[in-house]
Order: sequence, then C-alpha cells, then structure tokens
Amino acid sequence: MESISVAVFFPFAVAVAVPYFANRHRSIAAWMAMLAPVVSLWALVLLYGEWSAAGRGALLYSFSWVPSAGLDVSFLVDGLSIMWGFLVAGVAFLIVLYSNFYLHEHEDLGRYYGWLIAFMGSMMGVVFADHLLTLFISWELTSVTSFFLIGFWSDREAALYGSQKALLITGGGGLAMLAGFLLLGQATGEWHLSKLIAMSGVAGKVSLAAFVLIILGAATKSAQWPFHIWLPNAMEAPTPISAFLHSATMVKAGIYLLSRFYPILGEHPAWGYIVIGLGMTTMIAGGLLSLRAYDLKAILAYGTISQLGLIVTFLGYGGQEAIIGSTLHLYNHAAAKAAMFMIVGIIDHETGTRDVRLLDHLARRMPRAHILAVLAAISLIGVPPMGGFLTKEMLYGVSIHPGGPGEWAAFWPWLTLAAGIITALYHLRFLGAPFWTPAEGTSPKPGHDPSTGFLAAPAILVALAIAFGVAPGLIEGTFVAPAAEATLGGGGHLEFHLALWHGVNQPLVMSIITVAAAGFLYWKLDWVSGILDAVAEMWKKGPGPNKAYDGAIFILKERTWPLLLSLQDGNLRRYLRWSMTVPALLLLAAALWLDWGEGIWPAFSGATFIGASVCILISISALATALFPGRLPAILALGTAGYAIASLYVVLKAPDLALTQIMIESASIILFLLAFWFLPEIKIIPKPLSRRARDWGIAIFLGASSAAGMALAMNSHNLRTIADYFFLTSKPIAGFQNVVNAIIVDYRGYDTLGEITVLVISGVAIHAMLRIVGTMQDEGEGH
Amino acid sequence: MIWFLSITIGVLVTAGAYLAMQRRLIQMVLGFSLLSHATNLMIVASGWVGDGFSPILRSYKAPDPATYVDPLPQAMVLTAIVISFAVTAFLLVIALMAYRSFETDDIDEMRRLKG
Repeated sequence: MESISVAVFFPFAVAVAVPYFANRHRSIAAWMAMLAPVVSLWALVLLYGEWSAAGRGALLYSFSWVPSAGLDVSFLVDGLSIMWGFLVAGVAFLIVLYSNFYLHEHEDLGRYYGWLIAFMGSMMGVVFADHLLTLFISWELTSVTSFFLIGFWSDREAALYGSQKALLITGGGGLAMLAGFLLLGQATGEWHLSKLIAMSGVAGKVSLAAFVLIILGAATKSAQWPFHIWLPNAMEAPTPISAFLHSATMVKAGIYLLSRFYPILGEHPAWGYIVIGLGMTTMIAGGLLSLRAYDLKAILAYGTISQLGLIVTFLGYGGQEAIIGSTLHLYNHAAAKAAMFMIVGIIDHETGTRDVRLLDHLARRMPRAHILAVLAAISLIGVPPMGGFLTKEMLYGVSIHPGGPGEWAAFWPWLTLAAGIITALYHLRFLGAPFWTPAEGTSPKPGHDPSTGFLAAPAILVALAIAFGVAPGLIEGTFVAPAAEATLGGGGHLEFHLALWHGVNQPLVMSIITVAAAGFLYWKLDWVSGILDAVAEMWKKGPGPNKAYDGAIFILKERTWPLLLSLQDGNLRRYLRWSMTVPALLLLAAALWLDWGEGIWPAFSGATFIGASVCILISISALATALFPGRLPAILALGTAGYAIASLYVVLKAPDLALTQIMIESASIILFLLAFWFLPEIKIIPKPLSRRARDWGIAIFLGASSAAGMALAMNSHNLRTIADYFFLTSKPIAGFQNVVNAIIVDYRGYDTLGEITVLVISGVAIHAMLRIVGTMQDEGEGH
Repeated sequence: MIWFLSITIGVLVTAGAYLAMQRRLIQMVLGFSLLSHATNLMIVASGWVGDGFSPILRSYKAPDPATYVDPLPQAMVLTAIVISFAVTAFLLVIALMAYRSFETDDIDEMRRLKG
C-alpha cells in the first residue's frame, strides 16, 4: 500500500512544492525536482519486491474514495504496470538530469520542473490505475500537463499553437475514450480493469462503437495517422520535454492502453483490422514525412510517429511473439529515441540551430555526440548488436506468421519490409544531414562537443540500448516476460529466450535486404526527395488532416460569432424571454415522464364560494396590473391583488401568512407610490402587434404550464414534509401552540436571523441610494 | 378548489412574466412583484390539504398531524414574503437611480445611451 501510494502521489507533492523553492534557490531546483523520480524509483523497487514475493500475479491495492458513488482509488500492480512505472520514472530521472544542463539560467525553473514532475505523476496514475475512471482522470491530466509543457515558452506563437493543438486532439481523444469506457462499463457492469481482464468474453459483449471510441483514445495519444498532426507541432517544447513526453512516455500512453486492453478486447473481430491498419499506415506515413523535414526535431517527431505505428502494428498482430516484440521495442525505442532527442538538444544548444541545411559536417566538430547519435540510430535501423535488431527481426518474423486477419496475410511481410526500409532510410538521413554532409548555409555558432555532464544522460541511454541487444536477459525475465504475460491476460508463465543470433532464417534475410535497400536509397537520396516533393506538390491542394484541423479551428473561432452574438447580445429582455421559455419547456419535458393514468388530473369540485371568488379577484387584478396603461391604476391593481392574496392565505389555513401579507402589502404600496411620484408616467410605446403577441405568447405558455404543473402536483398527495415531527414536538420542545411560529423562531431560527439580516442590509442600501439621489437632485436639478 | 388555485397561480405568472418582459422599469418591477406572489402561493398551496386545520395546535396532548395543513411551507413563505418585499424595495430604488442618471426609464434607451 505505502510504496504504491508514494510512487504515484509523491511526484504531485514535489510538483506543488518545487515552484515555491525553485525560483528563489535556482541552483537546487533540479535537485529538488529529482527527488520525485528518485523516490518513485525507490518505491517501485520496494513494490517490485512485494510483487515478486506475492508470486508476480496481479496485485490490487485499493482504498475507498467516494464510497456513495462506488468510486475507489485502486492500483493494479502487475507485470505491465510495473514495467511502465520503471520506464516512466527512469526516463524522468534522466530528463531532469539533462534539463539541468539544457535550461538557461533565466528560465522559469519552478514552472518547468513543477509541470514536468506533475506530468510524471499523472503518467504513474495512468499506468497503475485500476478503475476505468481513475485511468481516464490521469489520462486527461497527462494531456493538461503536457499542454503547459509544450507551451512553456509562451511568448512564442508556434508554442501556443502547438500546445493548443496537442490539448485539443489528445484531450478530445480522451473524451472519446471516456465515452468508450462508459459503454464498456454498461455492457459488462464492471469498472475495474483487473476484473475486466479476468472476465471472459468481454469482447463479445462490447459494441463496435465502444471499441472504436477506446481505440480513438489510444490513437490520438499515440499520434497515429491521421491524429499524428499534433506531435510535430509539439516539438516547440523545450527539447528535454520533447524527449520525455514525445518519445518515451506520453505518446506511449496509447500503447499502454492498447496493451492493457489487449486481453480485454483483443478477441474483438475488429481488433486486427483497425489496429494493424492504423499502425501500418502510421508507420509508413510517419517515415515518409520524416524524409521531407528539415528541422532535426521534426525529423525525430515524424520518426517517433512511425515507430509508434510499428509498436501498434505489433499489438494488432497479437499473439505471444508479437506482444513480446512490442514490449521489448518499447524499451529499445524509449532508450534510443530519448537519446536522439537529447543529442538534438545538444546540437541546438551548441550550434544555435536545428535546421539540417545549416549544419556542416558536425561529425568533425562533435565527435562524441556523433558516436552516440550513430549508436542510437542504428539501434532503430535494426543493426546488430543493438536492441533494435532483435525487435526488427521479431517484427519480420511476426509479419510472416501473423495472428491477425488471415485474408491479408500475403501482404503483411511486404508492407512490413517496406516500412522497415523507410525506417532505416530516415534514420540514415537523420545521421547524414547534420553530421556527414556539407551545409547550404552556416549555423549561428560553429559548435563543439559539450561538457561530459551534458552527454551523461544520452550516454546512459545508448548504453542501455546496447545492453538490450547484447544481453537481453537483463530485462527479459525481470520486466519483459511479466509484462508480456500480463498483456496476454495473465495466464501462465511464458517460456522464451531472447537472443541476437537465430541462425539464417527469413527475418534475417529481410533484415539484410532492409539495410542494403536503405543504403542504396540513401546514396540516391536526391531521387527519393525528388519523388516525394513531386507527390507533395501534386497533393498541395488536396485535403489533409492538418487542413481539417485548421479549418475546424477557424470555423470554431471565427464563424461562430453570429451565433454567439445572436444568443449573447446584451439585450436583457431577450435573456428574460429565454429564461421564461426554457422552464416552461422543461415542465413540458417533465410531463413526458409522468404516468398519464386515470385520476392524474384533480377533480373539478371542492371549491368554496369564498375561495373561488377570491381567486377570481386575484386573477382580474393581476391582469389589470398588466393591462392598465396608467401608473396609479396599475399600483392600485397590484395592491388589490396583494390584499386578495392575503385573504386567499386565510382560505388556505395560513393565518400568519395572511397577517404578514397585509402588513407587507401596505408597506409596498406606500413604497410604490413614493417611487412612482418620482418616476415618469408610463408611456405606452406603440409596439408592433407581432412583438406583443410574442410576449403574451411566452407569458401565457409559462403561465399555463405552471398552472398545469401545479394542478398535477397538488393532486398527488405525496407532499407531506417533516411536518409530523413539528406537530409532535412543537409544544414539548419549543413551547409553542402555533407551529408556524415555532418553526420560524425556534426550529429554523438561524434562517430567520438571516432573513432579518437581508432586510437590514437592503434597508441600509436603500437609504444610501436615496441619499445619493437626494444629492443629485440638489446639485443637478435644483428642485 | 385545486383548479381555481392552479389557474390563479397561472394567471399571476402570465401577468408577471408579461410585465417583466416590457421595456419600462416600472413595469418590470410590477412584474417581479406579481411573480413573487405567484411563487409564494405555489409553495403554500403545495402544503395545503382541503379539509385540514390551520397549523395551530388544538390539543396539546398527542395532536394528530394528518388533520392539519403542512406548516413548513407556510414558515418558508413567511420568510419569502418579507424577503420579496426587501427585493421589491431594492428594485424600486435602483429603478429610481437609473431614471435619475439616464433621465429615461426605458431600458432600451438606457442601453443606447450607455453605448
């Protein structure tokens, strides 16, 4: 219990505390922020111990939160969430370490580290959440925190655009996911992931709509085509943020969601088609877009999109080998891509630009950064002995024997091979363009290798990328196998052994073809660029996801003014007309819920002569108030209505009300007469008949629905309040014979005190205002 | 009697709503006054039972609550009557001040003058 709470909640505590200290003691800001990942990692180590001791199944830690609503905070600890927890906290640690070198002295460190650590906590919430709604809340928190991180340099237009885009797309996807969760919860009656995983045949009960909505959540977060458009714009964030959110964690939340739901929805007939289709399209589209980018971070962003597509494709294929492959590739990609982002950050920091056209033979001036970049890139190209080679082989192997939709089986190996070649090609370009080739322009600064500390974080990551390839056993039994078991549904232990060398087989042949083809295409890169540019030129006028997004935003921002102005035009009486019409409509809507059986309307009997005549008098005087043109007749009519209502209170057996009403009515009339003395005569402004008819129409509509509602309500005798208690205790407790009095001065004494206070306050206000009016008279008009 | 009461309340609401939607400040205040009458009546009527006694105990020992009308709505409305008086007075003074500063009691004219 304690360790999981610390792992998830401690980052939030740090996130709240950091802004207070960071800007006052700038030198310690990073070290304070580092507390969060360090403590979380330590808690995770303890948790790992608890979990191992408990047999490495699924552990549940829960405590109730809103018991009346059936909400609880429960954490699901199994192989998958443990693995993700270590991934998030581990990368966060390196990112904070690196940020300390990257950020300039004058930046707002408190805001930076605060949001960064809050993001880390939200991610922890996502991966450990058991309840669907807790998962959703954490999920949206990652969107919100990333919004602030992408827009960290809030004086840049592009950063604002990027952060808004990311928030709208990922936040919107989260809402779709929530709708999917609600449908899922209703279909199965279960809201806990742990129970859903244990339940059999969930996929059969879930509608296609629920399935698509949940996948939509994953697809937007993981930047799958056509929702990938937010990721390149999110590169406006400081580079460590890009490395953290947009390579290792946030975009992978979608992958986590798919892995988490694989045992629940993997059997769904649409899973293979939708998920493979999504992944494969994204993998190829991302790769091609990367080839056309010139900003190093954009090259990496599109590369990330492509790599996410690869992992999604794995999950789409399904089956043991594919799940192991996807799990392992998460590590490979997180390590290599975060390292590459950090190296880009270093290049940016040292040369002042990220535009590859301005970077000239950097390998000569930044040899150490160059070596790290090469090692990271060849891991993702899939060259032994790097970890990426293993997963690339596995992907090829899976594509030959896919578990997905059978009828397309013949295409998968070819498509996968094409995607692999494109992947290798854009990674070669990522290396070649800045490090190996001459520049078209000159960079602001010549650039040189940075300090060792700056290189430490990427170096650690590259070392890990090598370790995952050379000695996959390091993570195989501890993380990969339990995570894959959990993804496959938690049944039984997996027996497999990862190794670099599998002998000469089809995947190896495909790997060799990949590297050879990519090498050839890189040699002829001008051709490739020429073809891509020509296609882009042709498609310039065609539709695209970015155009759709910008168009939608334009419509929302600009085209909605007429609607807004027509609803909120500042015309008080229009608002009033709405306020009158809507309640009447609501009453009508409520009428639909009623049981229109026999005897729902009251009988036309039981009226006394006095009662009936008083009612008629009230009605006539009320209408007269509305219709009399002069002010004095109107006041008198209002007074008549008031006194008649006092008599009606007598009929209704409310003597106290009758007395009060008489006194208050007298006072009101005097007040009205006083005020009207100063106000001008009511001039009836000639109004078109249509306007009058409209006003009367609304008024009669509201009046008629109130009358009908009242008749229905009074006829149902379910309105007895707590009156019995008052009757039985009025005398013994309060000493009153008059129960209304007892309520006013005793049972609800504080209420009456409040009422008197209101009266006094309004009296004071009236007095003050009248004095102002008096001074105005003395000064201005001179009565 | 239920019908008489309901229709009276309906007429009060109609007249009040119509007045509240007019352009003159005086008419608006009158309208709100009528609307608060209607609301008070609704609450009292909801606690009314045809043949009940007024809520003043007739015997101290073991009164039978079912024979009385409900006292709670009455107590609530008693408060409401006083408060609505305060509100009416307040509205009147505001109307007066508005008239003094704009020299008109037509709210459309005031909007125009305010710009």
